Amino acid sequence: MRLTARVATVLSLAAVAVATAAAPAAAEKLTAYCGDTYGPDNGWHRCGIATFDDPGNIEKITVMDQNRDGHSVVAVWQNQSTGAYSNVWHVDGVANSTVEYVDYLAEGTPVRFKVCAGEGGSLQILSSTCSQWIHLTA
Amino acid sequence: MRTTTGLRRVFVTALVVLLSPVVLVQPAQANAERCVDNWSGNLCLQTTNSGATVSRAKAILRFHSWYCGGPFGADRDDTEMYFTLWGTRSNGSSFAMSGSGACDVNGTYARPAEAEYKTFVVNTTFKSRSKLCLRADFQSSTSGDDNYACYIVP
Repeated sequence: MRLTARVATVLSLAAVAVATAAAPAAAEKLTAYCGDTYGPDNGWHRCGIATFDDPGNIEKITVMDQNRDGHSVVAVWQNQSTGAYSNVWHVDGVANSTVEYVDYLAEGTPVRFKVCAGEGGSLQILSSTCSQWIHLTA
Repeated sequence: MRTTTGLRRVFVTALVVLLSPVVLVQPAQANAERCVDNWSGNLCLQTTNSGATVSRAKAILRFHSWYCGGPFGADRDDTEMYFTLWGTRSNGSSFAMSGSGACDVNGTYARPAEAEYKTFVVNTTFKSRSKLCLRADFQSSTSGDDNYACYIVP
């Protein structure tokens, strides 16, 4: 019963995020584009993207890998009120994505984020591939 | 008076010496696995943790009577599953991650095998004795084919 309630809560949060994202006027969705990395299959291409979607009470950070380069992709974001950094890693390769839902940022919190290639095992970030910081308000 | 103070010092020193190994020893990193038997196989949530801090959570399927790419057709898309991982952080806030994964990543397509579908890099300290749960669905987050595996945070 308790499990069902929690599942319902999480799914409703996700559903709200998706539903609200569909309304462009209310949503603030920003995208960061990673630098190029070399993939034996297709040469030098952008390693991936990260989006920061702020539909209201919950932030949705999505990370996607776009190059078969042997690297993972990581979104690095900072709560600029506290200075705290967080990372959202996607380590499962091209064609899949990883999403983290953040429900503890107060409205109006200044946030910045960027996306980089990295090593999924050691969690080392390849800083030369990072995008510029993108600034937003939660 | 001096003797009493001296004894106290000896007692405190002894206490510090006795307790120091307890304080200095960090909780060892461990792997834990919780599985649920369904879909003619096992859905497993495998966590790597040090105490209540979980560094990684993996979604693993072990197939009994079918295999990656099995009863759902030969297309790669049919091997894709959607996962949601959620729990409660040590500060009481909610934790949730989601994402899709495919079973042929490690060459297990069309072979009876254990397939690692999805790895979440978690690096989060959870509330002790709370549940960290994994939901798995075929192809979308609202498939109706949902299964769950939950891990009790130490």
